[in-house]
Amino acid sequence: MNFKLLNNTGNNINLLILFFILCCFAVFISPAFLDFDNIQNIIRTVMVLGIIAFGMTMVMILGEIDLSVGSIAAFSCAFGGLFVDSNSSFIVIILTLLAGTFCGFLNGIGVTIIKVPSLIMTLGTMAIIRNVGYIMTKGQAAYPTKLEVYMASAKGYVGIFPIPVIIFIVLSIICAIFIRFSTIGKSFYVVGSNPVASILSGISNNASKIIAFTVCGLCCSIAGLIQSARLGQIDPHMGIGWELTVIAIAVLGGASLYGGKGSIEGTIIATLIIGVINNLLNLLGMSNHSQEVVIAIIIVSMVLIHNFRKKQSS
Amino acid sequence: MSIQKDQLIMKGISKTFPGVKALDEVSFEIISGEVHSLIGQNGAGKSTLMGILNGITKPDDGQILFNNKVVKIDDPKDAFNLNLSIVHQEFALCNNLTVAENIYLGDEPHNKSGFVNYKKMHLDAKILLESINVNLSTNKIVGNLNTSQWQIIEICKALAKKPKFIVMDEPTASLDEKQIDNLFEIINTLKNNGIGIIYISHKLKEIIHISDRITVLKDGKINDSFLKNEVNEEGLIKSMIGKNISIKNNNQNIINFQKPILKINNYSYSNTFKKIRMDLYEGEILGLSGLLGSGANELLRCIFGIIKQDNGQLSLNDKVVTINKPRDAIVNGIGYIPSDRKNEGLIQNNSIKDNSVLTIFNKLTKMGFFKFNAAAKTTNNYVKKLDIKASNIDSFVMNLSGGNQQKVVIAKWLVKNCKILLFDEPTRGIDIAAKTQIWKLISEFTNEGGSVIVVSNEIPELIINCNRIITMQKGLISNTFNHEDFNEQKISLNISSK
Ligand SMILES: Nc1ncnc2c1ncn2[C@@H]1O[C@H](COP(=O)(O)OP(=O)(O)OP(=O)(O)O)[C@@H](O)[C@H]1O
Ligand SMILES: [Mg+2]
Repeated sequence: MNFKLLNNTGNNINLLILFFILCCFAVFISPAFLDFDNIQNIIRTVMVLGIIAFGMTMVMILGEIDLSVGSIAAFSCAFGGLFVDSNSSFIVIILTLLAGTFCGFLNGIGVTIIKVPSLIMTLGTMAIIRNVGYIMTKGQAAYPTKLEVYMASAKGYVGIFPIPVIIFIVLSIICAIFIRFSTIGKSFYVVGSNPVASILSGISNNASKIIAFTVCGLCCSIAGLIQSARLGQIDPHMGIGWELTVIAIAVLGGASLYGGKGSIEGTIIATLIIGVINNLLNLLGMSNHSQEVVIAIIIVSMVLIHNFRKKQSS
Repeated sequence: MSIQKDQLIMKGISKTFPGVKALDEVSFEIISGEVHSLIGQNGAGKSTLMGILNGITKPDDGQILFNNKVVKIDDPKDAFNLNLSIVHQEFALCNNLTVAENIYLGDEPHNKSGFVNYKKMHLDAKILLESINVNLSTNKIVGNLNTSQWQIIEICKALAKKPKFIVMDEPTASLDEKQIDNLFEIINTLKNNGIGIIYISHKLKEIIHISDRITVLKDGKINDSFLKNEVNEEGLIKSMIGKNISIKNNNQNIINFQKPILKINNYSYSNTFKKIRMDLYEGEILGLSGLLGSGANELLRCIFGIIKQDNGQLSLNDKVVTINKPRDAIVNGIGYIPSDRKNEGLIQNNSIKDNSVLTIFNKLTKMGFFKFNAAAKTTNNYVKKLDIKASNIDSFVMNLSGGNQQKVVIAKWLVKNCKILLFDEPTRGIDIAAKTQIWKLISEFTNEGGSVIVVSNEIPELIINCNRIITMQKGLISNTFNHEDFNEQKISLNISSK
């Protein structure tokens, strides 16, 4: 084969090393870290955000950002949840995914055709979509517990493998292949690295962006669905503040806020790292608030490291 | 008052980049009040050497002496403290700031309360611009100006620091003749004021004209050093390249001036150009030449759909087509090689391969997947055909020399099989050997039936290679020269405003 890995997909060795150091540290702090239940718990918790981070990675490779991810997750599930009485998992799941995809598509249109900067556009949709969700559901949760397939997405097993983990792995493979081997994925890097040169070469920046935002929306709805099934309720309040962790994962995984950089592989490892950090803080008995502080510090320091490296290399 | 002469010496400088020995034991010296030129082919190591002098690049070996005292230049601040300033080959301007803000960036005048004194800043900038005979408003936004204006701002930026030594890395690459004469006057004034100038250029006529000393770099080593009047153009070429090169016309097409392949009618765009009527014929190389503000570059950008004309009509093979964006032009078989290769032509942090096939992503797709093997094969073909010098096709284009970068941009359009290529200053900043190669590529393209418009101020180059030359002045076509009427003086006269 003749494909050299793009250097823009970053060097994931450092991340892996960081991951192992954190794990060792966690074991040292609390041997309970290695309990099978604990490990499962880590994966199940962080995976939801990891799935969204796949979409976020694509958006960020294009040099854009999506702040509305938590709102899209909540809204799309709430929309599907309006139909729980149909007692058909199929209908609810399809409507959930469609709603998420549609929201992502709207973001894409806003950023490209209407030309609103993504930071502002998705800040707007973050508020709009969430509140439409509240209005639509009157703030009430729906309960999907009777929908077998729906619930299985979080609770089921195939053999000994939990279905949500299988979903995570399959999605990560699809996204990685998409980004690395498809022409569209390739154009993400091109557009993100130099939007002017790409337009002058006849590449459609708008198409790339619409696709990335749409895929991101879809990822949000999948993640929201798993989360709802895990909690046994479809809550329109779900996902508040998710964007922070998701962006942290993508940035840690090598995506640059300036575009042109990032990889699914990096994002996968970063997902696990964030999972371990969260778990570690739990094991240390730290509150949710302090956890958010840590996550925020990670984002800022990653950007600092990025700038430092850029300075060094020039 | 006795003028003390300062002396700056670089001694035994070596620098290796991954895969290339850019500089090998190079020594170079500059004294107050002289113009010491540094020449050499693309990739010879000129910019690297100057980068070291300015603390941007760290040398592996060697030292720098200022008046026989070893000095450390670890970052640009150190260089600044030694009164060294540099006009970089690549522009480094803030696009959304004004001309004055760019000139005094990082060195803004302040008033008593500590705020930036904009009034003084604009006044100083105005005086500076006037002192070098440039008519440019200081509160224009830099992003809206063109490359030659950027170049002038870069020069002002360096002058504003009141340096003792100034490095000019290809300052004339995007200037027209009038501005070059102007720059030479500035250089002479600086010289008389005791400022030492290191001058880098690929334009050998200029080098011979302006230099007191000329040093030739070849493959990272000092190859020769000449004093003024010791050498002529041929000698320099021979020293730079190692052999003589013949500059000849490869374009032997006989043009059928009956049916134009491209016709524009009544093209106007704001104040930039008005009512332009122009034809392009099959197999033709049409030269388009004009000073800054003549509208020539903008006309090219307009044909390619980067800017939209206010009115006027474009037809291809007698069929009217609407071009609203570059994609429309590309779909109609038109390609564009921009003058700003760094920002518009190339994706710097992508490989040679990705850049070369950028225009044919669609063609290299099978069921959504990118055909990596086919892309590599195509790229390898063109790397060979265009003689692109690189360690391999997966290396980033930002590490290539200027000439090789330009060839990658051309490769990108040759793979696309366009019918018409628009070249904006294709030989800017490119060494003589690469220049002849690029003109050869252009001729080959037309020999195979393609048509070309070249915007350039290198009139001798145009005369050798074009079938017709159109001159523009202040947004209007001033004259059209057929091949048999080519005459450098007449053409120059039709370009410069009376
Ligand atoms: N950052 C870098 N990394 C790797 N190689 C580099 C880097 N910068 C320069 N080079 C290589 O070093 C050599 C010298 O480059 P340099 O830019 O000094 O040439 P130059 O003489 O200024 O050429 P030009 O006339 O095109 O400006 C080239 O082979 C170039 O590819
Ligand atoms: Mg150079």
